[in-house]
Amino acid sequence: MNNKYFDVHAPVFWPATVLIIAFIAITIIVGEPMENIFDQIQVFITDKTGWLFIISVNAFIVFCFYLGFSKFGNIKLGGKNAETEFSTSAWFAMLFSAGMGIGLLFWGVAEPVSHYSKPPYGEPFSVASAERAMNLTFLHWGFHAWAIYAIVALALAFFTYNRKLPLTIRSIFYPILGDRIHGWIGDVIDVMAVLATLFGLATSLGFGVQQVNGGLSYLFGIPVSTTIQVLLITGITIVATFSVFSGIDKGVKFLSEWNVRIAAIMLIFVLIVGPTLFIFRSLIQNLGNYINQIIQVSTWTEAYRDNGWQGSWTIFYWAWWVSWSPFVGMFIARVSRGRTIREFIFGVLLVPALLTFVWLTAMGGSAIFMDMQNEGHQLAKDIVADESTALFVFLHEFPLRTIGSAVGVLLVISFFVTSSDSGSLVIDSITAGGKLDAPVGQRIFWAISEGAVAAVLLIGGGLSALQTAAITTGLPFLVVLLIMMYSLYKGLQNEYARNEALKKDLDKKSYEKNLAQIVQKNIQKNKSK
Amino acid sequence: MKKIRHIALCLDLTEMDNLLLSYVKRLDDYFEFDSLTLLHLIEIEELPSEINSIVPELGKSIEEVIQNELSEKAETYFGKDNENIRFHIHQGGDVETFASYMDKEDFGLVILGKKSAYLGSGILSGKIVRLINCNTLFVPEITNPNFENVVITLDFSSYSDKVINIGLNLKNIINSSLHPVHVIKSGVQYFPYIKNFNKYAQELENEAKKQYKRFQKKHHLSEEITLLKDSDLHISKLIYNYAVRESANLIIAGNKGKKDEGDLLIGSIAEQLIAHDKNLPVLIVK
Repeated sequence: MNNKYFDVHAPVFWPATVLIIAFIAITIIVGEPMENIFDQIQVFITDKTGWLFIISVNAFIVFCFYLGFSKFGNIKLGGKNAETEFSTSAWFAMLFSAGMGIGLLFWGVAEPVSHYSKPPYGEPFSVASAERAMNLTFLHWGFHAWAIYAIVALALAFFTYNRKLPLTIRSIFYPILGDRIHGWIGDVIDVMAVLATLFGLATSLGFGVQQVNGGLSYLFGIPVSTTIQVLLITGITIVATFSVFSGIDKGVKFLSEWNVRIAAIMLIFVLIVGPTLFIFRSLIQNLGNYINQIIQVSTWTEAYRDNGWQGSWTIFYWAWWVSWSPFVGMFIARVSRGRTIREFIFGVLLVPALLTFVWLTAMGGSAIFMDMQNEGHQLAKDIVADESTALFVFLHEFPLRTIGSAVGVLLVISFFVTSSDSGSLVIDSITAGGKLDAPVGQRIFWAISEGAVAAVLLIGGGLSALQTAAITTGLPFLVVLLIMMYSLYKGLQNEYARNEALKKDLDKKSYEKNLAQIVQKNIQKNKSK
Repeated sequence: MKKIRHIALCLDLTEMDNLLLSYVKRLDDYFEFDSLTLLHLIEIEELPSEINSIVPELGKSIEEVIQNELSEKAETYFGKDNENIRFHIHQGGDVETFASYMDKEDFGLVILGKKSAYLGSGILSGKIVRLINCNTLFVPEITNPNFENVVITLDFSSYSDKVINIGLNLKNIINSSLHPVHVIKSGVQYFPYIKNFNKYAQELENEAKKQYKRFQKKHHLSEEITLLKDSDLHISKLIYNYAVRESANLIIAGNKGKKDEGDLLIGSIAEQLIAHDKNLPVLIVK
């Protein structure tokens, strides 16, 4: 298996492949009961371990800020002479596209409106619920989410570039397991990461095409059917295959940059035709509210008034981000060589979060604003009725609605392609034993299997069952992340101490003098011979 | 414990090389190592032009020149063309890769010279001891190759096992007499008003004795331990003074103590023991 097209790490590649097939087969054959089992596990996680998620994500954010401001901030990923591989703008574009671009398209309108019409407490459709809706949405998509990614990505990047370990999840355990990470324990960890990533990607690809289908039917009256969706998956997979075929510095970078450009066009479009003044004013107010209440909102656990709201929103999000973190983290690590830790933390934490806030305010905030102008709140009800068409219902309110929706569909598709190709790169890297640029044949294999898994699940059912299963990996990975914080801290301490020890200059002058003497002596000897 | 087979000696082309070689020769007489690698780091990234211009006249590379120089020096002690002597001349002036070379070779012992002549010398040795994972022996300029009295410092951490093992090795092979020492950190000098201070101090002492008994039993160690009480002096200074009083020839210490932070590459006591104001050989156990 060691040639130009395939160069796999067999103990990870084969178990992962077999398990993927087995899992899908079981889910489809067993059907309903399987979904119930996964559901129960998820309910258990959100119900019983919610508090652990809440405290952990706050710990992550504190840790990130600590690293950013501490003496470790100057440590460079890849050593002090490392060069950055991508320009800063391309870097941001890729962070954003891989991290949550697709989720923002899906939820950008739907989530704020949903909190506004079904608040966790208080009067629905009120000013208070509108403010709270924006605040909660900012919480779910803001610094906390990016802190989770930042930690995984930073740990991976550090152990890969500074410690020269393979770019796979197992490397993070090096300070604890030592060389045993190269043994079966490491293989198990990597197989788990492959499964979580592939199922996460394939299921969201499955749901994503439903959104695209919804959009197309809203726009052009194309029927919503499995056939159309499978065709869409095929199309997306073909584009993604081309993208991974051309590699990260061509296709993936190109698509990410264009994603962000199209998203920016869409944002500007909404800014111009939407309630412009309101968007600017509310952005400032939302930001203020968010920062002002960040401690209160992020440590709120429904302890005194348990409506069961948090389990299906906040905890669900935390588990979701955590279960995606191996994938997004590896991708971010892959593109972040040569950044200092300070640059990395503020780049990953602040810039994408701020862009997200602008997006959420322009989309969800505008939708709430428009809804508040009307009695009966029909708009909000329409949006909440089906999240997958929320964006299009919202865009329908504006002039040039066809163009707006068409751009929307295009954007959903292109974000999907980016998720799919970056996901293939990540899985490919893990199954190749951590090589940064694994052979092309393998990349194509994974891109196609993602599409195939999504298609099979669409036809055979079991999309939501497997997505639930993917999210339930959030709890074990949360524990992994906590350990990761510790081992990253240890690693950075050591790196810093080494850099300090190396700082002092050697006494080069007297060494040169010594050396010159010896050379002279040899010359004398030569002559006397 | 595992026998030490392969050792390395860092030479820097100064006067001190001869002293180090004679010291190692003496060790080798007792231990009969399988191999000795003579290491040299070219401390500059590129040669200055005045050297570069005359190197071609020699008809060989600068590494060969240095290797010849080292080999000539070694000849005096280990005979001509001793096949157990190896050489490694490290180019590029990069201490980090030099250190990782040593780790890769996994030497049982790395010997470094320590110049006490002036402050700021011995920077290279200081860097190496921090970066490598091999046991490191620091040899100061004024040293007799003698191993009669050996102080072994114990803090009853995991390093103490290794420290004792090496001490016992010396005892068995060279017949050194061992002087185990432990510093009791009561911090009483900060609390002169504490009630029952004597009782408290006594308790700490008993605890330390109990700990030592455990190690004695484990390693079949017969020597009595000396317990030093901490004072205003740094612990390393207490140990050093004790070693001087016992006319010790070598101090063996663990790389890190129980309370040393993760961001130290070597602990504070080890660091102070190899500082330029102290003139005893120190073996730092990693």
